[in-house]
Amino acid sequence: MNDPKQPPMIVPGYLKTELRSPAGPLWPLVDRAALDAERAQQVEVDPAEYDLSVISPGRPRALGQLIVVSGVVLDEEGRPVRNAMIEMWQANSAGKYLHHNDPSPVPVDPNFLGFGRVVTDAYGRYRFRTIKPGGYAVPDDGPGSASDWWRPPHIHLSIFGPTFGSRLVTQMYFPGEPLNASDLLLNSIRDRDARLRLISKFTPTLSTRDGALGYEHDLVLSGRYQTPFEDE
Amino acid sequence: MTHGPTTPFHTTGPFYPEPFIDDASFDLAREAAASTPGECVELRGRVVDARGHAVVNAVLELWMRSVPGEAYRWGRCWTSDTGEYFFRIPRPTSHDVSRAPHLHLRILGSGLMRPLYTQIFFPGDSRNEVDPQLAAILDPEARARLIACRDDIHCHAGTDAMRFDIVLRGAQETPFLNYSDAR
Repeated sequence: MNDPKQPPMIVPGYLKTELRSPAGPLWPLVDRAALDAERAQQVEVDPAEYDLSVISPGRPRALGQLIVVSGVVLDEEGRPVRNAMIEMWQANSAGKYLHHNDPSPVPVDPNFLGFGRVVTDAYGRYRFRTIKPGGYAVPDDGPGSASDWWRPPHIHLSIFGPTFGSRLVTQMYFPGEPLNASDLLLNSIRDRDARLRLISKFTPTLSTRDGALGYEHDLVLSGRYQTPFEDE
Repeated sequence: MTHGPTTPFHTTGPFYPEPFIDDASFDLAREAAASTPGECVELRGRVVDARGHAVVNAVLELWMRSVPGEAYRWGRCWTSDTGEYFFRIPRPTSHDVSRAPHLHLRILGSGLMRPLYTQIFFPGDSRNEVDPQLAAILDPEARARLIACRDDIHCHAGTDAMRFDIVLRGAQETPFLNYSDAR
């Protein structure tokens, strides 16, 4: 539990971590077969979901800086993971989520839902288009919670790998953002290299002529997965 | 345990998009639905925090085998504004003598920097007495909390019902299992 490459369960100032993290011991798992088991049922993903910047064809584009995010999903040995499903969700360019749980007074963008899904190709690659999310002030949750906490711009990523044990839920940050230095979540990870793995790279070669700036972001799932059809 | 450069975990935060979870995904008994009476079990519960307050918009991911050797079925749902969740599952017909019938549960949500894992056992099953995973929970009071309760109010023709409330922290805390070091 004290892995410096992972966040701690309790993050001081983020009150919900103190109210929701178990105090008792984590008991040993006697059989890991259900973690290594394949997640056979696939979820159907419409290819149009790769573009978060338009709700549907013909609708106006969401406000904000258009971006492209691309990368590979790898296993712990650096092998590409094909058919991984990635769910992403984020705030709009003003820092507001289109969600009934978001109390922020910042305006909704009528042309931005803020979520989409993609599936990695045979080389483990993925790509999606969106707008750069805004930062926002985290509401004060009462005693024990930080009163001056701002979330830097970030995109939530939830990845379903080949097995039940390869599940990953994480957040992607942007390089050079002043709020990165003070974010409670990003800086709860003690290992500097591990923190840097959460920050995407500005990659001009990925930028597109229609105005999308390119960011590269690779993801590494736990476990080792034999790629089908590969010679041993 | 391996120490590859895996991407660090983060919380889902409070805004996990509900449209990701389609209407059928709470139902792991889809194929078994119209079959023999008694084959389906409804599973309900409430997720609460250290103060007993509802945990809203947590994502529960459930996977199981109803028959040894079959592929795992899985589904997910989110907790309502009152912290309640609901799954429908096929009744396991396990003849595996080494384990009692059980469900695997992963909990993701706001305030959880990493997922929590546990297993849910069936009430009144004599194999619970000899299950090695239950035996590994050395505190007998905690161990008993992994066995769901009968839920007679929700039993109806062809369907059994059981209840498994989840306490993330506190005196009645649900025992959670260490899935991340089991590599």
